[in-house]
Amino acid sequence: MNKSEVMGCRLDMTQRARKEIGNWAIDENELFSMQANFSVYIEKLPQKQDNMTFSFYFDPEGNPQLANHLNERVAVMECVYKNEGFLATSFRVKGRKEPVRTNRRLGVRLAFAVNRRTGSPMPIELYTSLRELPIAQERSEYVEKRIKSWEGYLRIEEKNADVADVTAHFSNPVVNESFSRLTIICSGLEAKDWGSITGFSAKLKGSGDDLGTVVDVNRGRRSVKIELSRKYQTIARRGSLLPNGAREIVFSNFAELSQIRRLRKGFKDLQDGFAANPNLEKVLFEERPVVQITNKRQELEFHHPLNEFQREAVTGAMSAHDLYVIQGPPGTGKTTVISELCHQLMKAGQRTLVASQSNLAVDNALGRLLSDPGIRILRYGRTESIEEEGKRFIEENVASYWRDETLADVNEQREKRAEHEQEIAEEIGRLEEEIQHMQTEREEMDRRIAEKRAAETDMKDLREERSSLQRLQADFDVKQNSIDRQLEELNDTLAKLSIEKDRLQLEKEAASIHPEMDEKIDQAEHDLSAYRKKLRYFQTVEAIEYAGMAVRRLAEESAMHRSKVGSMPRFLEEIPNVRKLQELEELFTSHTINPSLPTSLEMNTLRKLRVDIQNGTYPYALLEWKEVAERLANGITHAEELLRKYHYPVEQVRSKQDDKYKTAEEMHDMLDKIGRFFVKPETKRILAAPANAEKAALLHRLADNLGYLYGKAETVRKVSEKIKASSDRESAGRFTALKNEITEEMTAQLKETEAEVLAAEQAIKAHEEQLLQLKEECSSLAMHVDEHTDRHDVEKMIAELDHTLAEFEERKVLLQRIERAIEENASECHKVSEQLATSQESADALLKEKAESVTRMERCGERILALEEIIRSEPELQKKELMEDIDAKSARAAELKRELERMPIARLLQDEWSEMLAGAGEFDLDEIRKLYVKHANVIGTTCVASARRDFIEDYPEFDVVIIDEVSKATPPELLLPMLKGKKIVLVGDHHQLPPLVGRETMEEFIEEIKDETEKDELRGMLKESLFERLFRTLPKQNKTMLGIQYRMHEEIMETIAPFYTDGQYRLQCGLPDSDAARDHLLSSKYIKRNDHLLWFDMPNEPAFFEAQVKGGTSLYNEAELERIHELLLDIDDATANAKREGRMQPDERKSVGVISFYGEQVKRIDRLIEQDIMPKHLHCRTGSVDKFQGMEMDIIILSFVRNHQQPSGTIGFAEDYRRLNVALSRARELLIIVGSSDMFTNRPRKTETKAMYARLVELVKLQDGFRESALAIAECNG
Amino acid sequence: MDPLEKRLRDELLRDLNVKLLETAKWSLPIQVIDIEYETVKRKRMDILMKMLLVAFRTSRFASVEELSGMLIVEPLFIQDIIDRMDRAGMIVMNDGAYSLTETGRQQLDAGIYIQPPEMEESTVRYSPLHGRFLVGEFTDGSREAFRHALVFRKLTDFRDEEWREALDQLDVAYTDGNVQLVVQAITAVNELERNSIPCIEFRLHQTADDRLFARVWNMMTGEWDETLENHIMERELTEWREKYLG
Repeated sequence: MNKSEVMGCRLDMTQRARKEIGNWAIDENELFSMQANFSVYIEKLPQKQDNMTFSFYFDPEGNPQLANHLNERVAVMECVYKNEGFLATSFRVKGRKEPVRTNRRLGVRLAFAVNRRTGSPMPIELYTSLRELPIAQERSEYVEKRIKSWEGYLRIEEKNADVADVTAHFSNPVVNESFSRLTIICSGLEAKDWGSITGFSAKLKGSGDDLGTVVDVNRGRRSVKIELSRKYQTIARRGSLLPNGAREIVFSNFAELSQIRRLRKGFKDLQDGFAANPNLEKVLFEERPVVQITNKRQELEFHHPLNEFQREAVTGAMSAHDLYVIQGPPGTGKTTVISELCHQLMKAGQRTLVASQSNLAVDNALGRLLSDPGIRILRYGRTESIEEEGKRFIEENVASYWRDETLADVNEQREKRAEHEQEIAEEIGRLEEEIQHMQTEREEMDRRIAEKRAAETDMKDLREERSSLQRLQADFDVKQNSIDRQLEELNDTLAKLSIEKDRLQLEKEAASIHPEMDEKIDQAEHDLSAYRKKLRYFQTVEAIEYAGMAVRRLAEESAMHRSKVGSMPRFLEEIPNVRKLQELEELFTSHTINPSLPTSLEMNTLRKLRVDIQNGTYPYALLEWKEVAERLANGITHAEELLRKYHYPVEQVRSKQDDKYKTAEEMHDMLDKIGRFFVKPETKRILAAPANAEKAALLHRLADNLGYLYGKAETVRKVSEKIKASSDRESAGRFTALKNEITEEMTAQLKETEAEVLAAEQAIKAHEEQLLQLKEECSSLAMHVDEHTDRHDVEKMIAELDHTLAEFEERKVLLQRIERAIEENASECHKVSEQLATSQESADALLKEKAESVTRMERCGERILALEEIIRSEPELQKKELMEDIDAKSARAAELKRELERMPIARLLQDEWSEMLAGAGEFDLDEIRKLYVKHANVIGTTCVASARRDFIEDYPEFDVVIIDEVSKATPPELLLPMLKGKKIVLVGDHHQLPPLVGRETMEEFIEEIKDETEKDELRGMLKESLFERLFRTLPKQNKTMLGIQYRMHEEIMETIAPFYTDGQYRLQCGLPDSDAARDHLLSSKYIKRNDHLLWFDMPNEPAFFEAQVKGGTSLYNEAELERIHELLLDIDDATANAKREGRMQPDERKSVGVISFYGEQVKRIDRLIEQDIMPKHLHCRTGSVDKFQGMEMDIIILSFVRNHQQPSGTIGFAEDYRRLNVALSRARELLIIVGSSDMFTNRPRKTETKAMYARLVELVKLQDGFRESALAIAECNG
Repeated sequence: MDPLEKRLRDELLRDLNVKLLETAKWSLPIQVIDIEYETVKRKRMDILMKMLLVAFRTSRFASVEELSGMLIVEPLFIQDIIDRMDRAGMIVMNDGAYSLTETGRQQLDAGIYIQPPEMEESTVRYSPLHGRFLVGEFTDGSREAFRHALVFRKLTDFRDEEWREALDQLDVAYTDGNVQLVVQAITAVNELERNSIPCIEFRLHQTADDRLFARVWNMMTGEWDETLENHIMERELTEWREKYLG
């Protein structure tokens, strides 16, 4: 969602909201019309009655008119989401400092449609954003508890720190010999004050400046020791520390208190949502950190030489979201990683905050960033607490530092100008030569490109040729195959044909015809003809007989037909005169003619019809009507009688016609109705009554009905007549038709008979003629026959002869067929042979062609191989590279030439610039300071200082916050810089010393808790190392461990290696040759050149025991001091010797750190060095182990101090493996332990402590570095 | 015993654990040198802006990179100032290169000087043992010279910056509103004479910690002189232990 986009939404008011707005404006309409739209930060509240509820914070900056109206105060309106818009439920105006923009709120621009129930609903994107907005107050229980535990702790701290200033008279001020401490006598301090003022700042009454910090009090002597600030140390040197008349001093805990308040504010800011990374809370305090995991890794180009672990760390930190944790054992190059990270972030245009718990650590880290030109470091903090390394980065110094650097660079260039000019000229010459050379190369490339092009073209042709050759070859193969097959087939055929030929020859011989066979056949034919004539004779004789018989039969038939015609003509003449059916029947009888079947049937029907008519039997219709007529007649009679009875003149009744009641059925109905009318009791009653009008009317009606009856009777009569007449007409018609039919039938029969007679007569005539012919033939054949000739024999002979002749014919045909087959076979043979010859020829030709093509293929293949080589070469690429190279070089040459040309100008300007820089006053550099600050990309400060108001105002947010030495800072301290980072990188080592958490404060806080389990839980939370927990629980994408150390000689490293062994992980030594790189160059009574780890053992005997200063708590060990004395003298001598022998430079100094677990011992060592030893060739530094964390020295002497025979066996501070780890890992070249091995390996109660020291002793012994106590004493005494 | 010595001694012995072993008085040799230099009065002007104006007046520059290379100043700074000058109408882009406007010219001139240079001279005092110029109220010491005194340094060995630093200590340059007086150039240096500063040396023993130490009051600078104290302690502490405590 775009923040600047204006979104419209409806806004309704509750009465309450309206009333509350009324306090600030006339009404809501006035208020919300002040601006077209409003910049609002929306916070989600817990739901109310299932409605999403929000607080709208009106940003004064984004709403100038509203802010002006409200006097720059912040308006807060509570709303619920309703009907796709908002309903305001309350409106308040809060103070100007009310936070508005927090990471829990959604910033939007809204145009309110006030009190408009209609209008468009809320834009969907706004709605979605609102839905997704987390409820600001919600937080997991675990996070809640963790934060609470720290808040509680800080609350107690604040309570304890919140003490009123203590003012006291003082006397007898004494400054110590190094001007670092002021001791005063305060007689007026109250008892409680003596206990509390340690750690307080001290200032003279009336002065604005702190002298320093109270470091020690002695109530008995009434003395107060104040560590002077640097400023006052200088003042003390001038003897003017205390002005005349200064008598009162004020002790104040304000600095401490304000620091604690800052820490508390950190937690408040976190809860209020002011962390630059909204996820911070969950990252830091959730049981398992909630980070956005990314597997995308950035590809980086590293500026510093890094090992794999360091590269991993930088890449990981650059790629990770939210948080990245780097665990860095001693000497593994954490600062290098930070430096590289700053460089990468600078390249990415990001601003980095480098923070650490102490000023020293910040300055250390910043000091290493120097070499990088793009990085502009700004050190933020109180000038006087900043170490030398960091001083040049403070704002007031950056400009002059920049001036110095620039001036030095400019002057260097000026000095080297002639040289530089020469160099440039040479470089140009070289470049031009190279370009020349490359041009030639490029031409060669051009030639090769052309060659390649040609080769490509050739290649294409060749490929085509090859594939066509291949195709050809394939064709050849196919052809050859088919020819071979053909040859085979032909040979086969030929062989078959010759077998066939032999077979045919044999057959032909068998089927050949001899001459005698021909003669025999001729005879057979002659015989056959004779026998045929004989047979013919017998046949004609037979036919003659048959013909005679036929003529006779036909004559008889003809006579019969003539008789059949008989009376028929007479019958036909008489029939027209017949008028009755009976007459017709008589006619048939008289002529003895039987009528045909249809005629008889018709005659029967007619006869029946005639009888019906005569009997008055009419068809069914007529019968129906007859019934009606009868009922009518009855009705009429009845009506006439009735009327007459009542003297109605029936004669006057006339028949009436109407169209109703036409069919018989209808008339029946009518009659029924009239009948019912007559018999009705009413009718009868009226009729029975004397004559009156009613009766008259009834009679009239009856007469009317009678009239209708007359009418209907007439109608029925007519209908009956009609039916009768039509019946009579039908019978007459049918009779006439019958007559006609009979006539036709007769006539036809007559004609047929006549025709048959004629045909018979003609057939007779034909047969007679045939008979005549046959007789003639018979007589002619008779000569071939004699009386012995038998027809049966003749027929048998004919059959035999026919058979013989047929057989002969068959043989003749067979022979012909064989002969034809032989002929065919011969021609086939010839053909096949010819084909065979042709095929053979083509096979030979094919083989030759094939061989030729193979040769061509081979040649083609060779050519292709050669061309492929050319094509595979990439002259274009080479040319491109060359061209690019040429371009780059030409550009470079041009640039250099220009530089050369510009040399005189450069000289002029640089001279002027140098002069200007040298003469620049602070004021002239002011702009540089501003520029520098504006473009500073790495800001360094301590954790606590990062929460100072002015810093927050200048730098509200950083892209990345890198925190170094994290393990030494408490979570509240870490939180302050973390709040400012979108991404946080933590660098530390949880195997080194943890931060100091006030035990008493913690216990006091825990005491407040009632619940025992909660007590334990909270104690655990306060004690845990945030760094360690994060390192253990973060996903692998968000952490790494640096694994190669470069500080210590490998043998020294071995002492701490066990602390870091974890699974596959082993601490490695990155020095290619430890002996060469970490050669201490010393050789003396105690130290050999190859010694790197020594233990000077002290006996666990009273003479060597620890001791305590009177009135103090700290311990020292005189015996160990003596040993250290000797060792330092020895080392100083050895160094002098090394110088004499040329191993070391004359002005070189060995750095030696002498450290101990106990402050008192350190103090005594200090004195020893400064007063007794005063080494000339060493650079000595002393300190407690805890103070030395983060430092490194060539040589470290570690004094264990503890040595006693108390039953407790306590070794105090030395029990913590992390402290031992720090102590052992400070030395580069030589680590010397002075202490009692007996005490540390046998006395402690805890097994693991004993084991830890036993392992150390073992290792020293293994390296032959263990110096026995007895021996030591002997040497000591000797 | 003069009052100063008494005051100092009392102050030192206020600590009851401190015992005075011996007091010594001597003089520290110093070189008195006269520096001749040229000063100009000019308007306060941002140094980089002035240089850029000079550069644009001298030649044509088209790219920030070239300027950056020549002046050895980050391009970012140069760009920033160019933008500012552009906005203020001091420079204009002509044919791909910047040139000065009338305003720019005037400003540059004022930034170089408002009055012609003037010659001035100052006297400074150099202590070879301290390796720096000392400032204070000078009284010539006639006592014997410090036993560990170093040889005098040749004037030709000094760098210009050292002279400038010496003048800085004397506050010869000053600012008055928008106008400042600055040292334009060192024109000559002459050694006037060789003097010495009177000093009082206390040799002390801190009995509580058994520490021997020296306190040397430098009467010119008016302070306990750490350089001299360290110089002595480094050389004599062992000797003292034998001599006073042995």
